[in-house]
Amino acid sequence: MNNEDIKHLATLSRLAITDEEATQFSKEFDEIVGYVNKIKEVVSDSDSQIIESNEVKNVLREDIVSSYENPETIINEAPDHQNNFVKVKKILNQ
Amino acid sequence: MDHTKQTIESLNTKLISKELSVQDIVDAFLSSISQNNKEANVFLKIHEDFIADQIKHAQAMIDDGKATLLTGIPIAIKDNILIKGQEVSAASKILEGYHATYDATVITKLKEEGAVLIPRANMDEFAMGASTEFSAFGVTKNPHDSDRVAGGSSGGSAAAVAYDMSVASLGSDTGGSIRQPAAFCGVVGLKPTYGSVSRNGLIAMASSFDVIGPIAKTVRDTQILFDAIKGIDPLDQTTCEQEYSKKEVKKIGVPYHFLKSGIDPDVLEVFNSNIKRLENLGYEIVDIELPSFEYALSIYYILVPAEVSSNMSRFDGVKFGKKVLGADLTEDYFKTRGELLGTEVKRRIMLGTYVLSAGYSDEFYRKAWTARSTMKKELKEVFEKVDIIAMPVTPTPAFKIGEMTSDPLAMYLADIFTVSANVAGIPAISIPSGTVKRNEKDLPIGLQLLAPWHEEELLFNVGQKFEIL
Repeated sequence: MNNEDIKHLATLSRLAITDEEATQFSKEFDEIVGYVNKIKEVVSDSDSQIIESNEVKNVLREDIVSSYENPETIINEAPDHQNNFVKVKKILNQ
Repeated sequence: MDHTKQTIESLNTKLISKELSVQDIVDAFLSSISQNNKEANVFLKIHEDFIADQIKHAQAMIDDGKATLLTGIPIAIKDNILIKGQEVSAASKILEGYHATYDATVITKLKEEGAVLIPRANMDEFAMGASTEFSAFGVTKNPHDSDRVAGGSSGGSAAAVAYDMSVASLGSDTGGSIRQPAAFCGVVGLKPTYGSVSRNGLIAMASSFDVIGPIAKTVRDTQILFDAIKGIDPLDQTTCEQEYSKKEVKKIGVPYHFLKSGIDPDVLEVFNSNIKRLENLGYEIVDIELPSFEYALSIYYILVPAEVSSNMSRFDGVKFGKKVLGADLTEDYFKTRGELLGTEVKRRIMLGTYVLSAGYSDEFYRKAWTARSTMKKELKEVFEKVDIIAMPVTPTPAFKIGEMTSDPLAMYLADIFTVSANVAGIPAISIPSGTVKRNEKDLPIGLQLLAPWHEEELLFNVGQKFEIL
């Protein structure tokens, strides 16, 4: 993986990274991906399937609304808030 | 007599008989905190008012005759478990100054029992790491050698018990994060069956692996705390009923093929003497084959980063904690995450993004899931031949601070003996089992016992016979 690949991954991940970090990650990712590649030796393409039908069952419950005292305490934990709303910068430019 | 060296049951008897007050007990542990915390960095912050309120409440419960086993017992809480109104940061700068807005289910349960919670035990940032060196607020020192790590990610929780700063503690275990620091610090740590303890109010790392569990000085104390926190929770749909077989352990399996390389000879010697001890206790030792354990780390380091990359997307500088301003909203995201998340967290988010990206998800993610099912099947078959499995917890004793930080793969490989229990979802316990000498210091080693799904009782039974008190 070269620095460009790493920077692309950082963009997909919404992470600002420095050139030094990109260089460091590029070396490390080759090692880590090289290691986890072992998985391809033990699972062939034809074996590969996500099945767990006998292990996983759906758990359902009634969707009952319960009240939360002082909802403003949640809003207050947001970095930017105003009049009991979380404040976000505008997303669409005119 | 030193109150900090006693078990939960012994302290409980003294509280009920009024030989000791809750204040007496908590003061003894707080004095160890004030003596050692500055140097050892076990707790990120101590809120004395919060502790004082809990002491009053616990004493009132005792005076009213409503005490349970855990009333008035100081319990350290890892910094990724929410306590309403208290600061919680998962040892990350991105959550610095954030206050929890509700109680985790395990906290609700402990509050009902009148336990005295001591929050903010140090950890690796968002539980990603094996040494607390990835905490944004500094490393926790090993109680047996201050040049070495306490282990991680629940390093603060394990060190708190070892330093006599709390009777017991709660940690979380995604790939060894309770068992490894417990082994490094010389205390007992339980990773319960996945789904036996509610994750509601645990800051998520990898949701199909994470589980909250207890750390204490004895197997019995670990069991008491586990019994207090387990159970079905409507707020966590993955919680399930515990069904015990109540069988007696006769055969213990050892996957000797898995111990042939990559393990320190001194650690292996301790392990072999542990197996002798189990034999002397009357258990039959059986050599077992678990081929899937050989690639457990590959499964783990594909699936966990994948889940991490998804779970960490909520930290965007909008809803929680801190933000760094950019020119527009997109730049706010990049800067907030880029500047406030640590290197290991970024590494795992990006690895996860990679294994999930178009063209690679079939090669990595899907294959890792298939291998995960194979491992579960293999374990089911093995557990028909043996009742529990014994393995070392770690391939080495506690390593030196700074020894591994520049080599992430080497750090990942140190999880080799612990990740399998998380991949399969089975319970596993780490019990102090001996020491090895390094630079004139005796460093603790742990024995790991693994049981079938929901069979924690087997671990407690064998563990209590094995441990030397």
